[in-house]
Amino acid sequence: MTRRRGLARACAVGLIWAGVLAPGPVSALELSGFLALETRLFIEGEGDAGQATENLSLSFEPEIYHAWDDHRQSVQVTLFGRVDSSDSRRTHADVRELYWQYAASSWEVSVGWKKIFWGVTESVHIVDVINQTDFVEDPDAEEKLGQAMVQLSLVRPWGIWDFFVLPGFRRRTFAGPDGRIRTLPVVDPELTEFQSSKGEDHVDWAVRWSHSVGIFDFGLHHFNGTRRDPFLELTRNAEGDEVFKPIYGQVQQFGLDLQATTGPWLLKLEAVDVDGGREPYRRILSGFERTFFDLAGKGLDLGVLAEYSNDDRRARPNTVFLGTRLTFNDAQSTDLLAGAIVSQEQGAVWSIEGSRRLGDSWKLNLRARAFVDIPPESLISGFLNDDYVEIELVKFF
Amino acid sequence: MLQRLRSSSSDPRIQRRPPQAHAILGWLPCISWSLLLCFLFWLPVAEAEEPGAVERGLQIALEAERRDEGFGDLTAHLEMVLQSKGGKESRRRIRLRTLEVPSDGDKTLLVFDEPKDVQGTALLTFSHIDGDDDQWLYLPALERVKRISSSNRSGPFMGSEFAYEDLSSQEVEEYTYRYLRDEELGDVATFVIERFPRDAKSGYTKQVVWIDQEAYRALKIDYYDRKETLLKTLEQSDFQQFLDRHWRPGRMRMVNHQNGKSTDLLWTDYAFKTGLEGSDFDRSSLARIK
Repeated sequence: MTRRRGLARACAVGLIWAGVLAPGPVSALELSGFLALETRLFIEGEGDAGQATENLSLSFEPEIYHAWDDHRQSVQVTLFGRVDSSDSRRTHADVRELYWQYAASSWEVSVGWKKIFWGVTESVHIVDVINQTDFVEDPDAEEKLGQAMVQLSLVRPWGIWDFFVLPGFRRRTFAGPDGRIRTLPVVDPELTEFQSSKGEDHVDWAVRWSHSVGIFDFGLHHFNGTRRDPFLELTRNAEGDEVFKPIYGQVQQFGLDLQATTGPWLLKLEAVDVDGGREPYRRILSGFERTFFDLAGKGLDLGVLAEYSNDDRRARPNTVFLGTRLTFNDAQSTDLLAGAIVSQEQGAVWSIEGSRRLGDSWKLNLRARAFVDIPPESLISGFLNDDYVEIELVKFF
Repeated sequence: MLQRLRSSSSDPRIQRRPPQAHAILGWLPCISWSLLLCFLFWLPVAEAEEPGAVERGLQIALEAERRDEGFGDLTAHLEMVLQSKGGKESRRRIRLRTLEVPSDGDKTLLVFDEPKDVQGTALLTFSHIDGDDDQWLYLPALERVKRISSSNRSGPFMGSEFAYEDLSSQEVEEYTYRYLRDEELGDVATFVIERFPRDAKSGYTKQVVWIDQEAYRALKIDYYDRKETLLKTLEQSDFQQFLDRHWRPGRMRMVNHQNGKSTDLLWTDYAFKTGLEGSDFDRSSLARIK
């Protein structure tokens, strides 16, 4: 972190606490979070670069929420840290959220580090652009880094308008040399380049209009700034080793997300037009989720999911995601999600995820992923021998 | 009881009837009679020899609903205690807020406080007199608001013995009725009526409801499954009256006779007419209720 950004963060923290300590009726401070122990077992033994077969990892996410002023004002703090037995880059910490919010009845404003999610699909999220992916956490790219922002939301009868000013770009995290599920060769963050002369100090902005009318929920957005997914260029580092250099371009992104919810059917569409940077592209993701509820009166729900992705970049194949979700609706909230993302030219990624609550405050998560027939020219060819099973035990407090 | 709470909140009659319509209240029996005529052709239970029972059953349901009209909005806390067959317990804690909406169904927001792994998860429901309800689920870990299908009627709510349909909006029009008898339940004089769900997605063929004759509160409901065997019994007790009008139970106990499990719903901190408005129930409110 640069000194300037460190200072900005310190100021923001100071302001927030000044607000908290301001006189007025104060509600109780709520502390919660989790502590998780995770192990990954790599089925095909050592990695291509001799990485370990077994991995152990401990993560911690404490959360504080505090509201006052008749719940008009609040502060949310969510910190995250992980210690990993083999990958020094997976050992990392992040401020997921640290923001002050003022919520009036038809508008609200948030200042600080926050997470924002856009989109409707399950297999990948192509319109979700505000937060950077914390890619070392999980290759499914669902985990996000906190993003500094000022957000203004206007709630109108004809939808919600969100305006974002986004200073302080966050770099995507990538597994290090000793980590697995990584590119071959490794990504070298030291070599990171930006298209903008302001580098990571470029201030991005975005606006989104979202609304719900009858069976339709939709959002339209525009984003202007540093692209979250870098172009990876094969190069050599100072030691002469082959590495990937991440290059972050400047882009204008327009996008749409749409869902129609009718009976047990969810019909989904996401589309983006990304202009600028090394690789301008258009991508469309469409699909459905159909749920069969309360099968045979046993309380079991079975969902069937399918999504098709069309990407006009030459190196990115069109993919099909097929999946099934089993929700047992039992006292332990057991569920299971299995699926595969398949493409004709670039192989398949299989995934099974299950979870079950143990007692009142523990949870067991199981994940297994297999990377099949990934050709050498694919960016994720390095994943090929990294099929793994993950067991995670989480204690909530 | 969510039942009464929802029935009043989504109150089809108040909402369909504009204020001036109170003047034509006298027409209601006529409307009911015409409805009744329809039922005569549709329902084997509404057999020709007992039209009086069908009419009387409907009148009791309408009266129960009329007595709970106009609660405006309410907030409450509930604790759900699930008991397995072996007596093992698990708990959920939920905060609820409901807004009565003129001319359409009610809006309800549930926020889960326990179990801890779902803390902060929120479920927003806009019920509609006609057609499916609208439902959004907020998942705090991803900061994601998801529109979900509301067509799950018969499935269990949070792994409990309450089905979604037991807890959701219960409008008079959703059932057809038949009065059975007067009966002493304990030492309380009750009407016993049967009601038959009109929704094909319902998990029940019929429900038998014990309604006390003085205040028209549902004290007990027997639920019969699709095979017409007794599935569950709900008992509502520890009633309190609010605003000199609205009766609410402090305890709802659902016993499943077929699997031996039971669920207690304990209601506390009821507050009526708290000044909630539509903006407390929009999609953006899901993320900030915490």
